[in-house]
Amino acid sequence: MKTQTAIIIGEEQKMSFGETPNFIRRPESKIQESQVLSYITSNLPEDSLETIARRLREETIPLNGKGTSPRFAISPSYFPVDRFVSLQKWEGVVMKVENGYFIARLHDLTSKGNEEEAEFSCEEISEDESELIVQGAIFYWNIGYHDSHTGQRTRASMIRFRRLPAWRQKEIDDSALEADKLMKSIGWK
Amino acid sequence: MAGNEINIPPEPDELEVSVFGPGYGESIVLHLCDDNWVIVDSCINPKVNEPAPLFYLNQLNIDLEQCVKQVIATHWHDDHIRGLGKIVKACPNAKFICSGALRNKYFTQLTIIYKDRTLLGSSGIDEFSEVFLALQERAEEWKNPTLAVADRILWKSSDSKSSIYALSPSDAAIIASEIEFEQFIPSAKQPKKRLLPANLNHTAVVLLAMVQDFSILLGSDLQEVGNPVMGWSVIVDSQLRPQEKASFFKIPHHGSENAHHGRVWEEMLMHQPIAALTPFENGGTCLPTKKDIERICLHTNIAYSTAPVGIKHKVKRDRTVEKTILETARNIRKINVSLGQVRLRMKIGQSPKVDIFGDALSLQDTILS
Repeated sequence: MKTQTAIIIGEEQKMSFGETPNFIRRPESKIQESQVLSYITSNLPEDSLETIARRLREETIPLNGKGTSPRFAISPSYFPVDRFVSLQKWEGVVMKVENGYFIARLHDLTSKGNEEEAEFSCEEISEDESELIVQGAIFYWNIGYHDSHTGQRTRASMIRFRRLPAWRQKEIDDSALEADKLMKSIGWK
Repeated sequence: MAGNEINIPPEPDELEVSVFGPGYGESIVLHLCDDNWVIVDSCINPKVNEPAPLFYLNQLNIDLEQCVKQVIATHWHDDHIRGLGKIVKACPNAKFICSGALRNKYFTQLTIIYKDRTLLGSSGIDEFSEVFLALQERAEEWKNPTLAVADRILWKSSDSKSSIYALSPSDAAIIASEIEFEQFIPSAKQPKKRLLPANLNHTAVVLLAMVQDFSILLGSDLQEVGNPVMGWSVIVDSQLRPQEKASFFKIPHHGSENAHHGRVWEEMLMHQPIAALTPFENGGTCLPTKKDIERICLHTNIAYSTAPVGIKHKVKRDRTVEKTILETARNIRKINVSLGQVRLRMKIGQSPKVDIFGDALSLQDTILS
């Protein structure tokens, strides 16, 4: 039987296709399987495994107001059943949010160099991500085909907001010290 | 006079003002005679993905190390700064000049906080961190940026025939900006996101370049807020600025109403000056508006835009993708279609000649299009 490796901070688990990783089953984790899959699908197309590994070390995700959990990922071959074939990808930045819609600047990740601007209805965004629609927020827009395990192909458009980690006090304090050095080095102090 | 071919350099006694704008972005190149070149701001030439001023000067075979005397950043907004780090590196003997408002601990801290370019595109702040990096690598005498503040002379040619003055920012604008930069510093536990500039256009550097009796007023993005100690009001009322009237005007803030001051046209410009602007399309804002164009054309009939305004360009894509785009997004359009250039050249004592290249066009035609 083919096995896959789930990568969790400080923990690895060999498992079979379709098996739910232990950390999802654990009641204390309070993490839904859909959250795992959404993290993977929103990041793997754009990010290398090294980037994901770095995020695993650095990022945490909020757990419905009950503390935070380290991020986790599963190797991509874990979900061979349903497949998304990407035809077009963008990275977007929210420039303006107004009465039920937002305007975003889009950087084409498929044909690099193209820059576009588009208006989206906030209804295009899933309810659990709607709080992320703020000026300066980053998202990915992916258009392609969703191939289901039953062999059905449907055209799909997926907008997923990137949950960036929060600023840490140490980062802010360090930046103030570094800024001081920079000002000295260019004769501004 | 040199021909109107884009890649023929001006003669030593021929001044030049070139305004570049790709639909989002602005940069200006000045030749103040005798191989004295100045670069003001930077934007990217989308065809070659290079800073437009560098690409242009290389086309003219200008020795960047010897001939570029100054690189001026009028403010830090993304549309005026893309590629500036590369320019500072390529012109190691050019004095770097920026708004006096930027010599500020909070602004410097922001360049550290947002220097990571893991996100595509530039916020302006990360480009400034590239500039600071390039300055740190320079020889000692070229590291220190000069600060542009109101009524300060920034450069004078050895024969004193050419000079550049800063007409802004005012003291009041510099003080106000410190509070604004502090507000951009994130707090702990606040989620990370891209820093987008607010409308801090009252600290932009307005320049007056003079070659003998011909003056050039470069309005940057300075706005008029009706405050007598800021914006255009304080410049118009200044007794310390050179009182020469300019014959060429780079219209401020993409022709927007909020940068218009009637007395600038009456007291700081010659009758019917040659004027140029760069359009701005971002976040649903499209400048200049039809009303802006009509207002400008009342003041001069020799006005140009570096690119058409409000035209919806689209990227050609697979039909399936096109169909899905239309189902998901409204009003998608391509930005930075191609670069336009408005170029004035003039031998001292003769009449100026204006050439337009790329997408640039007369402002009147912009209304028609």
